[in-house]
Amino acid sequence: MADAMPQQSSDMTIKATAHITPKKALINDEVFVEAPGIVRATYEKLEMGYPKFFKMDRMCKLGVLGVDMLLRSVDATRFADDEIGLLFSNSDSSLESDVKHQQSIDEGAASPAIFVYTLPNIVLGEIGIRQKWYGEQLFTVTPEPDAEFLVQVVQSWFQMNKAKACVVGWINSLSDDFEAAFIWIENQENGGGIPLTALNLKQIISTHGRLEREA
Amino acid sequence: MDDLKEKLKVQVIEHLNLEDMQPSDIPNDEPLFGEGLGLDSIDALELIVMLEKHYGLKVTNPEDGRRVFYTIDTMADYIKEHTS
Repeated sequence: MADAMPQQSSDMTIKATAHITPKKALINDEVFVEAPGIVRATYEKLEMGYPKFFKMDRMCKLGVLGVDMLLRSVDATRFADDEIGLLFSNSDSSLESDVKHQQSIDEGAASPAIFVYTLPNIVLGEIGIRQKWYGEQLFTVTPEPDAEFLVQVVQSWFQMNKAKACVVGWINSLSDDFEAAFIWIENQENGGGIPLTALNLKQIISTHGRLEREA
Repeated sequence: MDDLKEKLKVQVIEHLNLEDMQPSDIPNDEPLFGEGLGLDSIDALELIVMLEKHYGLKVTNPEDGRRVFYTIDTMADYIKEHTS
């Protein structure tokens, strides 16, 4: 019966964060890369050696980079491949690739290489393939980061033993002023970290604006 | 021939939408599919369209495709052989 009791959000903690802005990439608020062409520069800094990366649209690239960055700070091997959930959200859906897809149609022939990225949740599949994670996945499109909802989803996954760790991500990639934030969450029983609350989550996601102003 | 190979690399990057990749990232003799550049069946379609659009060459036999699109070198050889 105790297992069915709702888990308080304070029982879950944020263990690591990663941000990618057009000018720099940060892990736990510390600069990891600062260079023009930040996407390619971060890929090189991570020494990923993952040719498939170059085929992805920018949203997928940011997602794959963000998770690899988080893994510089946390050890995911403590969890089984189906114990790590991916909960991502944005407001622009896959519009960047949608526009390119329409352009390719207007130019005479739809491009399969672009078409395959015309859904926002493809980023979750790319991360799953890269990390060989097969856990829960959810992508939502909301006008603003809905931190309360995101916390509720993480809570429910943990409560129902659907996940023991979770990456929450917010990626908007429509313009060159893209924003990408990634948060690694675990149960507090693993020790340390920032309490997972809607306020904390929202502040971490919105750090993008502050980082840009500081750049 | 080297000019053709460099041109092919630029066209491959453009057609496959390989943003953030430079021509120098593509070795002439490394496999484009599988482990090399990591291309897949969807990219093969793009390469077939690319050869037809830029060089007027139609690759219809899958066995030919496997040989032609193996590396930048083999693509250049095929184009030279069929356009000169």
